[in-house]
Amino acid sequence: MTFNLTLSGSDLLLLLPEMVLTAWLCVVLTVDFVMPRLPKDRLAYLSVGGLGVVLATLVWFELEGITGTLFAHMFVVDRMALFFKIFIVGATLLVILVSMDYVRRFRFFRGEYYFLVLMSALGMMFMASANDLLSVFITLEFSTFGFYVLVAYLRDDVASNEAGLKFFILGVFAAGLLAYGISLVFGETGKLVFSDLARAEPTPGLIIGYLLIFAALGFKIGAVPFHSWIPDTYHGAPTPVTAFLSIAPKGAAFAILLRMLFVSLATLKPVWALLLVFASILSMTYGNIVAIAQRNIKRLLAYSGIAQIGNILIGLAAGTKMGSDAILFYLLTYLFSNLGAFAIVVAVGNLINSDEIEDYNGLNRRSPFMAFAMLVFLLSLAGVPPLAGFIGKLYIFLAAINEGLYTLIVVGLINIVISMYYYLVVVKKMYINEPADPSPLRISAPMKAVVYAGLAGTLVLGIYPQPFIDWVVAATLMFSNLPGPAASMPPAILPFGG
Amino acid sequence: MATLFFFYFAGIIVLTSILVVALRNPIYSALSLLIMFFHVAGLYVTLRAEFLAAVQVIVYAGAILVLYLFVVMLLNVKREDRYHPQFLLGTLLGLTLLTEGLLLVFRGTVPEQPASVPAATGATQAGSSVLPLVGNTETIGEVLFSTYLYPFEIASLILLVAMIGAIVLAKKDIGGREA
Repeated sequence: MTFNLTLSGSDLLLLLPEMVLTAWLCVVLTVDFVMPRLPKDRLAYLSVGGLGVVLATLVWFELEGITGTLFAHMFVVDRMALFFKIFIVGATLLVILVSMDYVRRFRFFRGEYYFLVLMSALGMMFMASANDLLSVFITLEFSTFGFYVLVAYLRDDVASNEAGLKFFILGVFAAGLLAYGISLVFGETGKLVFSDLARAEPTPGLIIGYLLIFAALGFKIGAVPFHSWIPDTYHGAPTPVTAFLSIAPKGAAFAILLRMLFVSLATLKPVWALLLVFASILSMTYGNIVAIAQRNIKRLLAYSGIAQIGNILIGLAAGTKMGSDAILFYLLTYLFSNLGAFAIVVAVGNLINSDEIEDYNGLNRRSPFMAFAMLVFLLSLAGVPPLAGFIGKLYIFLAAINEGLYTLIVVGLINIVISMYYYLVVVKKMYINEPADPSPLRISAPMKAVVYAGLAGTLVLGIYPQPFIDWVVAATLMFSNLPGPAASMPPAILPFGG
Repeated sequence: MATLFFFYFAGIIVLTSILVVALRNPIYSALSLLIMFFHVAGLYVTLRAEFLAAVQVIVYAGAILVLYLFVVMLLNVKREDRYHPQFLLGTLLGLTLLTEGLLLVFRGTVPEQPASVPAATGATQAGSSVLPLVGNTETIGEVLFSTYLYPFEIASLILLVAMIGAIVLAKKDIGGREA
């Protein structure tokens, strides 16, 4: 039997970040096993160190411009993949720091928690590089598997078990839809790689296949017709896992959506743009209106997350190079604001053992630092200048204006006003209401580091966004030949540009 | 002829799939699932995918369904729902299968597998470029380790996550190991 496997050392270099992470997570697992007495905090720092090395290799790739494809175009390393990998690794790093206090609540398998977080991160890194339908399926399943376990990690907690079960059943259902859709597309065209699929004629089978694939991806990002798992799962899961789930997989799924819509389906843009407009309007309106009624901060952030996804879908509906830039930038702002807000929720939850919004009464008296940080994060999520969220929303809306999507923009603006209400209710409780128990709260060191990182990101992206805009524009250069007048639009029309 | 077989297999698959969810007794559901798995395997044979058919029977009908049945039996199914007096039917079926098995063993008329036997010689002589000569199983093996090496390796990582995840979620308390 002869193997025609042609992999040279320079080919394998493209896989370096993933290989480093794979090796490192085996190290974490082994260290946890052979040194059971080692404090789990050390394991967290070991994981963070490994992610630091991975991040360094990714930045090296980015600076040296190392790109290419492997395994017959199944695995691609381009600027966009590098952007999403840096995004995912950064999010994972912050989530591990956020988890360190929370992990003490788990009665068993505290070490394996870090292993599973790293494993999900690895899966999402592969997702960012997926360039054909087969690797989309397998990497999507890979990253979700870790989350199925992480969501149900509080084994003695009924809510966590319920969340895990709901997520698992609906997730498996979505995986079934995805596999069925891929089989239809493959059956109609005989092709799997995105760029090959671009030349396919739209037959009914192909269209049904694509619809099924997008239903599964819509489940993954939690856009409205497919959002039903989000509130309960976010509520029941351990809070750091909720933070992780609300950011990193969204980024990875958008990498796949961008590649599929902008590469394979560029010619069918009028059709999918219309569908995305509906999904976006529904997500924004539903998420924001239901969020008003929430009494639990995790549920509030879950519904606000659905609305934020609606905002990002505006950029996708625009379907231009500028739309893709805006999506990448928005994800960056969302990373810092949302992860920061969740870090405060985790910190407060660790200290007072409650996630009810009522218990945030008078947080300013108890911990001015946490109250101020929460204020900044919530205002950024709402889109108040000069914070990151404002620039993100502005960028997305500008991309939509260039495409003439005025209905979408009107709905989006109305939704900003609605969202302002429930974010400000939390702010009012923190600053104006009297605390039931005025004892001061002290935030731990790793948590403080994450909150500072979130604050720094939110402020820098809001006040001096130009280097980051340059970065996302460079990351999506592959889409610059998309149809539409906005492709030639310079991004420098944004205010606050350097 | 192939169309006839396709519609036979497809019809039974649809019917038994409906029965899996429609039947009240979980054991009957599991058994209809078994029949469905066998017919899916049959469908693979009509598509000349012998390897997939064999895997379907071994993995799904053999391993996964037995697991289902174990779980169903271990969970509290009411006792009167579990067994029915079907000794006659059971004995009849068992005897038939036993006779078939004995006939196969002693008469020795099992047809030689048409695909894989010439494949072993064909591959060494003609090389892997002549695909029709190479058997189904060999082709899958070769493709899995060359063209589809990447998904194959990721699948191995998925198995690692699944293994650790199953231990984390299901293992009983382990006193005093955690620091």
